[in-house]
Amino acid sequence: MTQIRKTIAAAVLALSFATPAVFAQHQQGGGQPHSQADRQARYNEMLARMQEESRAYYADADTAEYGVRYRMKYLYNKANNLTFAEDRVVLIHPRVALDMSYESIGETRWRNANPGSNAADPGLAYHLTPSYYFFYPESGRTVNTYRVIGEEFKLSDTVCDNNWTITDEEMKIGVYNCRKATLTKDGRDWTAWFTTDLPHRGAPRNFNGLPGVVLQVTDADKEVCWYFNGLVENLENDVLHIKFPERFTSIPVENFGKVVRIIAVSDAHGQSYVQQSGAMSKYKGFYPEKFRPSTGIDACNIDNPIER
Amino acid sequence: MFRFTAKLLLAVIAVAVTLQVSAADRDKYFHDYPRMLQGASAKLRDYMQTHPGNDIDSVRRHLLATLSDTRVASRSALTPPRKKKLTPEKLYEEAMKSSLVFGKMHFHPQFGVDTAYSTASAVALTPDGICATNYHVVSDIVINAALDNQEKGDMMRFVMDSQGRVYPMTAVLAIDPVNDMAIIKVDPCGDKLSPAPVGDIVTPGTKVFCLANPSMTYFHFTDGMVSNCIRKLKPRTGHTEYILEITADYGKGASGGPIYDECGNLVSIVSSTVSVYADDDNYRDFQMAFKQTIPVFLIKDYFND
Repeated sequence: MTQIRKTIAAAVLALSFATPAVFAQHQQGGGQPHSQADRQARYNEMLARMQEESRAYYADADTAEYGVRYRMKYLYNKANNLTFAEDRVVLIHPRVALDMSYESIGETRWRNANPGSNAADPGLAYHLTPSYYFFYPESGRTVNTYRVIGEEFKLSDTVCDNNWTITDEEMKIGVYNCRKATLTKDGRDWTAWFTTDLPHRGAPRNFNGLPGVVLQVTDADKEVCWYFNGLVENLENDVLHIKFPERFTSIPVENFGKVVRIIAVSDAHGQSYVQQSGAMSKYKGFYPEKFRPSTGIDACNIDNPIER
Repeated sequence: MFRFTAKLLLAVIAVAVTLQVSAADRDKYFHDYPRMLQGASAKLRDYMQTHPGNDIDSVRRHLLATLSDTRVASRSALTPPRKKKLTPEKLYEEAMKSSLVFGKMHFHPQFGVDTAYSTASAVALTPDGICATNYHVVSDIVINAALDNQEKGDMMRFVMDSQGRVYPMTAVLAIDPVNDMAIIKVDPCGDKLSPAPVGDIVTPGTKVFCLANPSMTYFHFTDGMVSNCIRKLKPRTGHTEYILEITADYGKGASGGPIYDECGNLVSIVSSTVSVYADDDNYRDFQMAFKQTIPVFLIKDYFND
């Protein structure tokens, strides 16, 4: 049925494009219905509208001073020895740090740097888990949010209580002098390397609480790792925004697990059930447009959870 | 003379009776299923009046609570497999009891009318109304429930048996999007559904039969054999997909329909077709179509103690 459904969807799409084209041809006396210039003009118009929406959405957002990019590697399925990789970024601001997926930033920057190319950034892992970890260094407040399409869930709002042991051991990561710290948390023994060569504070996920910027975190079994992968700078017309969600979903947070699994797994195998369901109409005009269904870690069959 | 008249009279009566039986046979063996489906609209309208809380909104509202990751009922709720092989004629007769049409009741605001129409197929698993179909048949309900979204005009889903009896869907009990499988619950409305005996793993070469509803041709009976058993570990997500490929014919509308072995046991349900073309890029010069079905053990996993 899948193939048939695809064919029907393709036919409907073709018709929806063909019909205005036929009308246009009729009205214009048989000229080319959609010239390259028309398409370009429409694309530019759409781009301008999105930029306008983006400006409005981020009007009250903080701008990060810089970002730290990581390659996260995670042995999520021990039975089949399967590893998940995702590019994450921690955006650093004196008042707040935000851990999020780097994919949308990286993909946008690559597209802007390679206009007209159909290829993809070979440096990206192409996985996006829409989880966000806000950390406020002064108060220690840590908020974990998660965006399922247009629904913002607040999963936790706590004060960081990581009881790190800072050692004298030192190592260089890139050009930065780092110091080793250890922590036992959620059933794993963690090692972090942090630096004071970079300004302010920040760390991946919920590994905050160290007096500097964490560049590497690994567990003792090397099953869950964040490796430093360079700094991310603000660019002209492409700044690094830190925006706390304006409102949260009315869907009860206790349903989060089922909701995220349904949405992630429904679209993780080449089917676009979410698009076909009509549910996306609810999010018409919603910004930011990073709401495509997650194909991140939550679509995976995990037998080795990070928090054990 | 009297004898002749009596014989003639008897002969006429015999011919008349024979003709009458033939007419009855016509109705017995030749069914007007589209007309049955038309009747479903009125039945569902009556049902909605008498059960105002049992519409699709109710299914959506309760879906996350009713959805189970592990269990929907005891294994003993399933009908054990039949051991005796059946003739194709007898198998058809038996399969007609458990094979179902899956449909939707929709309100069309532009015409101000509601209509029941078929969208797919299903199979009865228990007398109290647990049935199996495909995930893609109910995925819109599940996703809209997850995102707390309403579909305009959507009133109800239902199944209809070969006798035209209509049973409204009241819940989605389990889903397996990776394997395109869903287990649903319908209101048996005081009846007892005739569940299919549930078989086990079948291997290539096993003769199989499909009784489903392709292209609005209801209760269409085809045969073939198991042609392949495939297991695919998805390296990107770690999920395992199980596919039972068969050669029995089916097409759109058969989604969720039952596949039986020679004993009339349910061995898989229809999922998809994959067409092979000599000219892949342009979908030209059709060569063959793989018929991919879902092995029944994936359904049985949800029936445990």
